Amino acid sequence: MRFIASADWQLGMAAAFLDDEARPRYTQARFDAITRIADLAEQRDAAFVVVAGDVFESNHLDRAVIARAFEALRRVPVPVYLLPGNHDPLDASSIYRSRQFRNGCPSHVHVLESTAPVTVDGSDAELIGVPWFTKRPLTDLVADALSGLEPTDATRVLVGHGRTEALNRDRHDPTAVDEDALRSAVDDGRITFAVLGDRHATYAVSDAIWYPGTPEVTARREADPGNVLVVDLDGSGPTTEKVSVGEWTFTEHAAEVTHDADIEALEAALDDRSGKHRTAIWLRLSGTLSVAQRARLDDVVERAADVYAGVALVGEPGELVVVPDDHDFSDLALVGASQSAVDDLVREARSQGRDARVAQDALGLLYRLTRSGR
Amino acid sequence: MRIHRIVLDHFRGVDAAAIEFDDGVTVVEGPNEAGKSTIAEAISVLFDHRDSSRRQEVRAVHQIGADVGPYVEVDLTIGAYDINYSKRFLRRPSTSLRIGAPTPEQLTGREAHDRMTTILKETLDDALWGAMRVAQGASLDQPDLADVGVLRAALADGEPVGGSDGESDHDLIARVATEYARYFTPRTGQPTGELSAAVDAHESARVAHDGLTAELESVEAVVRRHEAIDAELGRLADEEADHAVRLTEVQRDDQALTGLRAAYDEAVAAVEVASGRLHDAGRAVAARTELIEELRERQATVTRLDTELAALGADVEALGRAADQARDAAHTARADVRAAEAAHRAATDAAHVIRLGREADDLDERVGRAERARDDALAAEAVLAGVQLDDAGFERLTGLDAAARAARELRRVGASTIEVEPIGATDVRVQGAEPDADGRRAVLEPTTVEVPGVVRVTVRPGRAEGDLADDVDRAEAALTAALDEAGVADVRDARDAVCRARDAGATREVARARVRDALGDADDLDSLVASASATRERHRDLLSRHEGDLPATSAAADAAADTARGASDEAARKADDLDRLAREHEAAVSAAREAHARCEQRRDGEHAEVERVGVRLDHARAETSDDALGAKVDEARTALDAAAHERDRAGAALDAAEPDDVAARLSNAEAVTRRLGRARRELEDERQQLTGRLDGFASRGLHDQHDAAAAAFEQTEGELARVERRADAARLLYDTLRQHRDTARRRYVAPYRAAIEALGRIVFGSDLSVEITDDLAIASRTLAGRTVAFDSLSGGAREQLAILGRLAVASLVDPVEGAPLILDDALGHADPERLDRIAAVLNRAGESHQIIVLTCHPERFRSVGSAATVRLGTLSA
Repeated sequence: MRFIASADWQLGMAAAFLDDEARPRYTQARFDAITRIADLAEQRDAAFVVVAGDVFESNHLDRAVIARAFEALRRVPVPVYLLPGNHDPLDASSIYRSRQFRNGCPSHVHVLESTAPVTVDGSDAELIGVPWFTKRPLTDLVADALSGLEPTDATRVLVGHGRTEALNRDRHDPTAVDEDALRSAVDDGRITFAVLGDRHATYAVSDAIWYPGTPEVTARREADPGNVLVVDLDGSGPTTEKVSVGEWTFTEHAAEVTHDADIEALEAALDDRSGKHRTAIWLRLSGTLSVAQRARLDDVVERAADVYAGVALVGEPGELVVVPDDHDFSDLALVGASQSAVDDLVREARSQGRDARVAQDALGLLYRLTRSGR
Repeated sequence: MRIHRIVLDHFRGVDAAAIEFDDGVTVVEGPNEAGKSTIAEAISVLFDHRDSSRRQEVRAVHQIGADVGPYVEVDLTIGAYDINYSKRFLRRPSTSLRIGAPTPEQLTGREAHDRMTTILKETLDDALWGAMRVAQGASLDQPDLADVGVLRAALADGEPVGGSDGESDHDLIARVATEYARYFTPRTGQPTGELSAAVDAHESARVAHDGLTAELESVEAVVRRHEAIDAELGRLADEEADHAVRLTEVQRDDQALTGLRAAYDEAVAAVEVASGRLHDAGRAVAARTELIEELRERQATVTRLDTELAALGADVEALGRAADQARDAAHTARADVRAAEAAHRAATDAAHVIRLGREADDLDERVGRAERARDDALAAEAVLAGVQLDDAGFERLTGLDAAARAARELRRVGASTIEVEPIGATDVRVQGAEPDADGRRAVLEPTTVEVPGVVRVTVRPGRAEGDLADDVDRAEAALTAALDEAGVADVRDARDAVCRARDAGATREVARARVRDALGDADDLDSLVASASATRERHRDLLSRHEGDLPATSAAADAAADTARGASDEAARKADDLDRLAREHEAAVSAAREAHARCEQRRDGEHAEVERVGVRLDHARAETSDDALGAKVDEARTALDAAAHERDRAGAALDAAEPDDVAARLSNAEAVTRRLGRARRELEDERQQLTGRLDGFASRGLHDQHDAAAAAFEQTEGELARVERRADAARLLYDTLRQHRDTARRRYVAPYRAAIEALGRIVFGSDLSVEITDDLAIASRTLAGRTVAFDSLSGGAREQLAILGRLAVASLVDPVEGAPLILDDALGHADPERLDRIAAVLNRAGESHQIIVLTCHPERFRSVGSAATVRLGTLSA
């Protein structure tokens, strides 16, 4: 039996770090990912699709998000099982219990509202959903659900949400998923396979325990986002195939820029990327530039910002230093008071003082003003 | 720059003129209308505008009505160039530029203008050129020297101050200042424009974001509360189930208790009924006993009253008899009283007669005394009537007598005397008589001395003697008159009369007193006499009517009367006592009769009662006998004992079931039920409310709003950081540049000040000093230790200092790089002496610098020694 495992759709997510123009496109991209999952389900003849939590970014979204989600979900030709996660728990304000959801929900879309076993439509597989009822549960919900299960001969898929202890940064998080409990549940036949959500990167805890990750990237430091899993449970053991469905890229680009050639290389690298309009890039630049070079670098970055969905400079102060060289202002032939003022600023800019950066900026400004004046 | 010649044609008020300028001082004189000011204007128009220009400045120089356009031509040396430059404007415009040196060039039209502009820009400092022209009416203003590059170069002593391509500090700082102004206010450096907009945008985004964050948190709080309520409701449901079991048990116990309580209540009621019956039976027995007793008592009373009645009848008899006796005794006593009273009246009459006789005798004696005294008084009265003199009259008489004697003595002493002394025997007669023995005689009257027969000498008293004689006569006449009046012969006689009168007065008073004494209370003698005779008459009348003997004395009569009186009073007292006794006896009789009647009435009443009670008792006994009543009482007591026993038994059974305990448990259990119900309702209400609120929130898409606000916040934060960074850069650049410029300017100040003071001392004296600002303006002038701010100086002094400033500039700037100083109608404020001194300065400056003076008062500049004078009027066509 084959199905598609996904998680963390985070529908309705907004990306503040993107440009004004790119932000709505990005929001739409998360719905578009559902369409690609639908296509994949059709191509691979999957029996169903499960989404292991955080289908929605929040319970407090504008209800229009529901209509847009259903619009995309209608493209899926097989049953879809949605699990409430920590972002969209089944609490009093749950989006799954809203009028719009209940009234508009397509018949092949199901919400796993309890840990009671659910038989998949048109199949003999059984799903054990472990929904979140609150943002702050006090126990490992997965372990609780497992403890009530008996071994079975049927194909049984557990759908849960939360980090395993190994992945959890918070050592004392009571919700951390007990990895060993999962493994032993697989081993003793209580479950066949486990699909987990919350981790946005695709990740295997074991052959039968997987985080499919988010189908569309959400943050710049995600290791391997943008995938879904095609899971095959027939045969001796589970087989999984990671399929990329994401179209957006959030990435960091680190480079040292000290010479003109470095600037040119950066420019070329930025030019070379494809899908710029679906790419946000964080430039971590280091090195030492003259005032003139810095102006050129700024031009390069500015041009990139026009075509990328987002460009930002990151890095600690001091990583990228502007030091005026003798050529920066020599062709201005400044004399008298102006020249001595420039000399002062250059001295300050080259110093290690706190105002060095301001002095560098001031020189940059002077550079710009004197050039534009002619 | 030096201007050698200027040619004007149809230019403003000037039809045609050509003026040559000296290298030193040239004074162009002419009346105002002659257009001397137009020379300065012409140079400006020539340099600043293309021949094709139709700007206001150009059109203003067109001669009205002329069919030829205004024309200006100038010969000048500027930098290394020798130039002839001309333009005609408006009609058939043309431009021509001829450069003689260093390399000859000849250009026309647009090229000529552009080339000339380039040369001017290269060689002439705009700011200096502006500063060195003093327009008419603006001579009091100081030149704006702050940005004159050539001057600063000169002052900085060769240090380069500007870019070779014309980039100057001034341009640069202006641009930096513009950049600075994007973020800060120029004066106070407060954030403004882009910076404050970024701050504001960031702040409002932050506020919006915080607000939405808070709202989201409140939604979360509602959700959490909702969860808590659900959990609490679950717990409550469990508790209610547990409690329901307990409540049922307690209710069962309570049910059982109700039966026991009813049985007990019933037994208590039975006791009450039995007790009531016993009470009724007892009451019937008591009523019967009471009735028997009453009958017995009333029969006794009747017997007692009969006895009392008999005794009262005897009393009435005895008392009647005693009363009759008392009445008789009183009657007898009253007759005795009347006899005693008659005896008393007779005794009193006798005493009265005796007293009246004594009174009549007394009155007669007083009449006699009064008549004797009256006679004595009348005799004394007669004596008094014989004397007319009183004491005062007597005093006057003695006075007059003394005066008469004194007058006489005075006359005697003062009169002439004659002494006749017969010598011989011859008879000498004085006043017909023999002379006195001493022969002396006072001549008081004509006195004759006669020797009879021989001689008679009459001596007459002198006039003075006459007067004295008159005094004597008058005194004696007065005395005599007074004596006559008093009816006495002389003073002695008068004294006797007065003494007699006094004695008679005394006697009269005594006699009068005696009369009054005798009269006593009578008004006068007559009434006394009448009273005496009346009294006598009455006495005689009474005496005649009196029977029997009279007692001897009045005292005896009074005593007899008193005795009779006592007997009468005694008899009256005895009669009164007997009367009172009689009345008392009568009262006792009637009281006894009354008592008897009352007693009789009571006895009859009691008797009737005895009969009535006897009937009642007979009836009662006929109904129920006394014995039957007693049996009923015993029966009722037995029934009561049985009921009480039953009640005690039921009470014990009830107590055994612990009713208080059950009631407490039941009430507690019910309270718990209510509490649980209330808690559940409250929670359900709250959940309902929270659900309502969540529905409200749900429709708002708070998360989306929050995301949008967060994006806006992040963006404005980034924007603010970028703007702040740019602003910091602009400020640092601006501050640094300005600081360096100011430092440089301060360096220029000292030589400029020295130049002004050197020239100024010629005008104002050797103690002049001036204060120069960083902008190279004159701030104040100090003369003889007195410092005055430039703006507070007189017009003359300001104008002179302003010109000195320009001359100082001229002296400092290289003549090749400099510009001519053009003074248009200046020094109108200077007095002649100052003018001379200014002239000296101009003269000296003219040695190295071109100065063009335009004036309609050439006499002001006569004393400029080296000045060349051009008369504009003569050149005007």
